[in-house]
Amino acid sequence: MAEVKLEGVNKRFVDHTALSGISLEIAEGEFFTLLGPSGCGKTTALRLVAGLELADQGRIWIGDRDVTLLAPAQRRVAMVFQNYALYPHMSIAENISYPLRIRKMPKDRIQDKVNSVADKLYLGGLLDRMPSQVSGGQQQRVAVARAMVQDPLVYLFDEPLSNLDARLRLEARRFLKRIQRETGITAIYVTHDQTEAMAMSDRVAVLNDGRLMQVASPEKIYAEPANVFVAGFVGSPPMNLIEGKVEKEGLGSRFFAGEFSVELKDNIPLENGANMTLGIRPEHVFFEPGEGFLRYEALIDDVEQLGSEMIFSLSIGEVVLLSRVWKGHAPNTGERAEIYLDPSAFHVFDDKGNRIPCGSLGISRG
Amino acid sequence: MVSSTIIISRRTSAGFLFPGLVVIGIFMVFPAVWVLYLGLTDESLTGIKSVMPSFVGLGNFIRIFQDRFFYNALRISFIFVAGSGWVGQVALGLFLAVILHNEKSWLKPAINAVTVAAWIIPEVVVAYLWVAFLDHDFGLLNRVLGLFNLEPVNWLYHHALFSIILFNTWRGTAFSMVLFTAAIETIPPSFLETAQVLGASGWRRFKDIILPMIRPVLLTDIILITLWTFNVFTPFLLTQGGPSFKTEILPIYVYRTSFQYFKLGYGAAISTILLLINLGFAIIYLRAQRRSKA
Amino acid sequence: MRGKGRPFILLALALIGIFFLLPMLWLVLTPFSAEPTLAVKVAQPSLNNFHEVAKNRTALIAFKNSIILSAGSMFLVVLFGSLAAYALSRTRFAGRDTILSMLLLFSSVVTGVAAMVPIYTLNSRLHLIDTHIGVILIFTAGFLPTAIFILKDFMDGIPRSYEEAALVDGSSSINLFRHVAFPLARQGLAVIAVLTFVNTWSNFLVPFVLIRSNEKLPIAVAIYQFFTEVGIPRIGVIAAYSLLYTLPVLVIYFWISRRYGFGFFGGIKG
Repeated sequence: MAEVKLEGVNKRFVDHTALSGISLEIAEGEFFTLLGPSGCGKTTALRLVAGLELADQGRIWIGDRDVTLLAPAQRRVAMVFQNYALYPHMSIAENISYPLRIRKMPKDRIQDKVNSVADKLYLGGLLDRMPSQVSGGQQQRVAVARAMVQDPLVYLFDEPLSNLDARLRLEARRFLKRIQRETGITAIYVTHDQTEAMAMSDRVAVLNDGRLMQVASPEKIYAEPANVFVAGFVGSPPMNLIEGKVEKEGLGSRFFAGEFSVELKDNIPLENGANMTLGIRPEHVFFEPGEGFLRYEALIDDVEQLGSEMIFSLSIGEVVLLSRVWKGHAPNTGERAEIYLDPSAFHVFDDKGNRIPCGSLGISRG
Repeated sequence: MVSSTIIISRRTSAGFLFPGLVVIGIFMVFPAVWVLYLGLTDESLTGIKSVMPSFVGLGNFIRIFQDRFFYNALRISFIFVAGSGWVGQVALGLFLAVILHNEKSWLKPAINAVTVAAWIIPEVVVAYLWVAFLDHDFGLLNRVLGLFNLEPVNWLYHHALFSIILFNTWRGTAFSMVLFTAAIETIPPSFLETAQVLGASGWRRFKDIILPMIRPVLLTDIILITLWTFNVFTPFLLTQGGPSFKTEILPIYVYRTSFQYFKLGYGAAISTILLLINLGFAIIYLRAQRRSKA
Repeated sequence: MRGKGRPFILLALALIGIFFLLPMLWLVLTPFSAEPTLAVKVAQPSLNNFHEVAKNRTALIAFKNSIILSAGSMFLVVLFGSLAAYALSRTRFAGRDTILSMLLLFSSVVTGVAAMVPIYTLNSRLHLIDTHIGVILIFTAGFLPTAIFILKDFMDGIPRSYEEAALVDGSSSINLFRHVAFPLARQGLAVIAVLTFVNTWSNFLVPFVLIRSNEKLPIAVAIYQFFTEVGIPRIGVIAAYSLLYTLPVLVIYFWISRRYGFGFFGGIKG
């Protein structure tokens, strides 16, 4: 296993810039995820580490070797693609052993290694079958087996679970995470599914449009998103983001967004008239009062009954909020209701969308 | 939605089919069958035998199997098909398709353009281009050799078979190249990239992944090229089968016997053999198609 | 493709590219040369060779003949082919697909000189030797199976609703074909017409065997005569004439590949 480092990496394609100024340090043995919407550059970054693309600027290190210009075969990485790339004309055993056969390992050693990896991944009796004869979940494990058998320094995963149906995906997710932990090999994982990223990773790098938005542990990304993009991307249903303006009158400041307003503490570093975005997650929008909560009156626009929880869409004037509630009080669509916001759960973002740390949140009850 | 409405009646249908089927029937099917009969006569282009041919049974066929020119033509044809068809068009087409499929520079469209041009220029023109190219005194090939201080070669005299093999390869490679390029493009890039990352060399990627995955196309191409090369007549325009019958492939042999020596009956017997060989190729092709669809 | 082998690959590709290019240089340079020979050289530019072609009676007549042969074949193939394809598309009967495959099989087996022997004999009996119609019929018979195959596929894709509406309006079968199917299949018919043209324009063997008199030869045979005739070959004329002969095919190729991709030529030629 080895650590991976990217320093100032840029990559341009003919008509657009895929990555700019990417610098990352991935620790040895870490499960590190690149997360973002399509086109954000996460797959490009992965391919740069693999050596399938060459960076235009910057350096890439695997362990203490500068691999920036090295061919993929020389980097000691193993890659698993979304479509598994299992060769249809080779049996499962032949697929798994292919990297070893290339290296001209003696046949009995190959067989031992294949068997041991296959056992670890519960592929025991399937070795003589052809890829088309095994299930999607098994195919996925074969692809992982082929990676494992190479004893690489780094695993590279490009959305390996996207082709599985929802239930299988959960199992596979847990399984992959366990395998990675057991082998202790550094893993770089690409996905657009933020739930997957949150569940599996030690740390997550959120990308958008070729740039890094935030690199942190899942908890921190969720609790302290660095900007509006990360705030809105991570979390389901997404964080409520209210855009409005700050008004300072004398000693006090207020945030206004149409009919909605909140009083701010005066140590908020924003000017009068500045744009500001206020964020609050749906699970912090309540129908019952609580200690220090702010009360508002809202109109219920829609209710989604999901069995385990309910998602309300409600509006305060023009401002639309989502609320996520587990049980209990359920107002109906079209009714007016009293909602309560937890000020300690507010997120404040400046006019550029960047997070303003608020300490004990310079926000008081309105 | 498949409609069960009858658009045109059976009778009208037959009427519509009639002209096309008649033309095909008279001018393609009938000759193909009639040749079997013709081969059993001593029909000739001129003289008494053109007006009153008589039936000679298997006489023609017996003479064919004793005719050293027949065996010569068979041998030359085999070398020609193996050289120009298999080693030439198929292998070169495959090589170009594999090398170029990932190529993004101007080389790919350039090579495409020249190979395809060689394929679509009319055959008479192509033949004359090579007559000029191979000319002993003025031809470009000898001029290029001269740049390396090599002696000019009389290609069509001393290396006639090699020359027509080279010529026909030049002529036909584009078809295989395009066919294989399309086949390789159906392989998902991740298949080859996976191999690249796990350390397989270009040659291994070709042998272990590309080749097995394009096998059906490879088979189809080999059969088609074999059929076409076997029947091609254009080398006639370069060498007329000479010098001394050294480039007399079967089609030229048929031409000489039937249309230069006027022995139509005999020529028909040889033609029968050729058409049966063609039929053999076609049947192999159909079987290969059916198997690849299974 | 990176890696250590790249310079060798580039060299190989360059050599192959040059191999393909060299023979064609003559066709590009010599027609415009004031001193045309078999050599490839950049000489004084001149259009003299083209003037010679314009003055050459055989060349002009051959051009007319080629047009006749190709146009005639295009006409018959499009007409008979579309009628047959329409019938096959709209009628179902046992063995329909087998017949089509058999026809295709036949047309790829019955090719080349071997086929010309019985065809010559047949045409001779029918007094079609040395006639344009004789050649046109052979071209048509040879290409129809492929044409019908392609057109039937095409017509299968035309929804029947147009014809059903016309039937309700009382249209007869001929009218159905003339006013509904034929116009709707225009695109496919255009492709077939072009393919027929390209095949017949370039064909040497069939007219070579079936036509005797100089008055009726098409361009392919005329050029062959030019370069095998006794005496000093008129290289300038051959060069210019060949270039003119080649241009229509090249133009059509580029036009078709721009619109439809190269796929159509595969399997059709040869």
